[in-house]
Amino acid sequence: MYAIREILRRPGRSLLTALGISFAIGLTFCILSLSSGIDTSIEKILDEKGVDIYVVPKGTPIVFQDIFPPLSDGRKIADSLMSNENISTASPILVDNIVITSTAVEKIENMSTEKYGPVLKEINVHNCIARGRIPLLYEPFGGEIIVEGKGFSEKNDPFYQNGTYLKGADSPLFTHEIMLDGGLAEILDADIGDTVTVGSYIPADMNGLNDWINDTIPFVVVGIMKERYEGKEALSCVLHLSELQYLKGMTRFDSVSKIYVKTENHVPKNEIVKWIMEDSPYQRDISAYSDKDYSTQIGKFTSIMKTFGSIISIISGSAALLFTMTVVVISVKKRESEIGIMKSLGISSRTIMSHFLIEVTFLCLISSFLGMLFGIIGNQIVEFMVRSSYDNLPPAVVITRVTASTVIIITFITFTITLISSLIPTYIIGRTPPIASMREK
Amino acid sequence: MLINQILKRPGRTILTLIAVMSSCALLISMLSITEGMRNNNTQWIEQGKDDIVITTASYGGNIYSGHEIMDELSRDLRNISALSPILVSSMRLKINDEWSSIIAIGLDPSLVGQFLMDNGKIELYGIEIDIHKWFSTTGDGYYSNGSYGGPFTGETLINRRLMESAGLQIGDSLGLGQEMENGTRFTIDGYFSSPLTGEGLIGIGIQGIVLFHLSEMQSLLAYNSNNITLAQKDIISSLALSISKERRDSKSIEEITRSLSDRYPAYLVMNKNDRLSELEEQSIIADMFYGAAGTVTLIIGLLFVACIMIMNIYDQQKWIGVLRAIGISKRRIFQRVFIETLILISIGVILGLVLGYFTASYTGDYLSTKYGWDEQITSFTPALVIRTVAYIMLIASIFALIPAFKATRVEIISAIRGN
Repeated sequence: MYAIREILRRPGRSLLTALGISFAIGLTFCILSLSSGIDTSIEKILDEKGVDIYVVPKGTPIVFQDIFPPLSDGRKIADSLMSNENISTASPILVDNIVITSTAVEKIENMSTEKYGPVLKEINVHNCIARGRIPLLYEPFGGEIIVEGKGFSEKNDPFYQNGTYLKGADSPLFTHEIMLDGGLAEILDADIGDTVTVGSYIPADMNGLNDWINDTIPFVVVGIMKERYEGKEALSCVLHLSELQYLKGMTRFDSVSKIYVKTENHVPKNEIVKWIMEDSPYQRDISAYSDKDYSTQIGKFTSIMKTFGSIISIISGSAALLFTMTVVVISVKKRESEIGIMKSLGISSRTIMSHFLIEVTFLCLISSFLGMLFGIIGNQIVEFMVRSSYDNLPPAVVITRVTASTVIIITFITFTITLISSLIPTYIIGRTPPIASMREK
Repeated sequence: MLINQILKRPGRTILTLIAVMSSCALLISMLSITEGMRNNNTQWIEQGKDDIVITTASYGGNIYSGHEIMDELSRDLRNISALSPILVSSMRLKINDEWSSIIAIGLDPSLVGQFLMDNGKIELYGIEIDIHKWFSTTGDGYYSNGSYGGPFTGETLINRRLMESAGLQIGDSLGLGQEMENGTRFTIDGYFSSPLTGEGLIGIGIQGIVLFHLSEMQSLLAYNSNNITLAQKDIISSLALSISKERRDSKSIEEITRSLSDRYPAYLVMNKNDRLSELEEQSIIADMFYGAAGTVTLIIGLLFVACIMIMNIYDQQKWIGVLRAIGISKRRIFQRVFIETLILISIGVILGLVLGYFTASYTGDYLSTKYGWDEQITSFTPALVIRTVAYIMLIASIFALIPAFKATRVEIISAIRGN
């Protein structure tokens, strides 16, 4: 009660001190939550992919896996990987840019007498990322998250026909099936069963329009997918691998951007990575990374922000510590005569010290709760500002996340501030002889 | 009055100053990061001769029929005085049996020359290029009359760091994955400096930069991508336009931008104002994050000052009571405490600026090394100092009000009595 009475006796000073500590704790809380948010986002994105090992062209950095020139002989390499009994699935994937419109070819043909700019505007062509996959081989990785429609009716890649791609888009084996992500479907105003026109480039002028019309291929929308980590900003769609290869003129060498690998659970991934890099039949042409390697590489990019966050927390925490320490020392010095009297009455130094310890602990505990409250409010503000600044933020992105470690670290900081700012001054006072304390006054 | 008190208790004053100084140093060094990033980019946009840039609106997209678009635009002599296409792509390069990932930039040497800045450097896709030895063959002869059949030079320029680290020399041939079918080879014809060190975070993905003649790179890219139709599509990544002198007023530039947007609706047409606005938008989040973190720390420091000043007033209660008893007005006491608090904060701010200068410089070096980008990333400019000091003093004035009001509430009789 003595300690609480002392805090209440000087409300202004106590309030300012509590605010100082709670701001530092609130700031640290926000920074730790942001940091956890980043880690969770990376984890979630990689988990969503469900890939154990990424196989890419030799020398391709894993973080830029989709923007480097592709691998040749994608299917042969995938088959060769399956020779390892610890690999359960190897799924070749091609990622490339295509153009897409919901305007039917016949309608475009009728526009060809108009001016190029307005025609192109009316055609409403969009660049988008296309992923070519073999649906059956992609299923072990979780497949697509389809929110509408049934998805591909043909789970294999029939148009490939042993690398002959016979009869092109006129082949009865060419499925003409496409799945759009929610953002793209919305922009194209396309629904299940609608036909979209897909091309590999945008015509340069009206003269090129007819050639372009001939080069485009109609596809039927068979599924609308949930946007993944790319979000609505990066419009994307999924086609059968061979159909995308054909569309992009990449049939000659069976080009793929990467191969996703699923391993048997009991085998360490690093061993399989080593086998792929050193002993697999195509080891000269490919590099392999485990999901952990990938997450470590991404983590390097976020480490700078985390370092800065830690520095900010340390500086603000130190300022709060100095603040509390100074206030407590002054407060103790002001009560020297009181302490002297208490000592001369036979109250032990330990008991006097415990009074101050309780006073500071109480102050720090209130500040800690207040700080966490500030932190939660701060998190809400950060969430609001980031989400309002980026309209199409990917759904898998978590901006702030409060974890058990956040609370543990905050508790530790509170404990440290309490300990240092109470022990040092009380120790000084505890050593002061009663006469000296009383004489001081 | 309180100044004496401040000097009488050096320990608490020093601790207070340390808190203000460190929070002020933290704030200004944090702001110097966003200031630096913004300044570097703004400088390139403002100094660059590319008044308008046409690029693709989406990630990974290309502009097709680049030469055709160029021909069409070059006929617009009234509005356009120079234009230059750029093709940018990532590529793998085999040096001494090791693979390096590089940024490949294809350009027409004679056209790019028109965009050289006054300092002799050029900015290509956000990278500062300082040429030491240029291409021997100017122009882009491999593309002639709508086809790729002209003389193939095989000339490349390479960034100096990569050249030195790989032990390459002018005349050496470059292993660019597969050799092209027609037996053509690429050799090093010159070199240039760029901020890219090939190390750090950027070095994880990009170890060097190689410049090519545009059409030769288009062919190489088509071949490396196993995409036989790619070269036929004549892809480029962006097209830089310089507006003729007579039309370089803001109204005309806006008009030309609009007209180009209408003509090429599938692409993004941006003038300098658009690019600056986009840059400003991109900086907002970083500004908010660093500004907010610095401000919170600053507030802690200022709360500290306010608290110490309140304690000083408490110590000087008797003296304040006497002043009030001899007729000194509350207003005078308020002013005095307010100014003295600001003086204490100002000393902390000045010390904080000195510490902030060194912190910003260290932070800049740290970030440069960490990113692998040999360019001062932070910027400690007079404008930043003025802005930050004004901001700090504004907040400080609010906190200085607390002890000032406290001082005016001292009751004369009880203060003199010493209660």
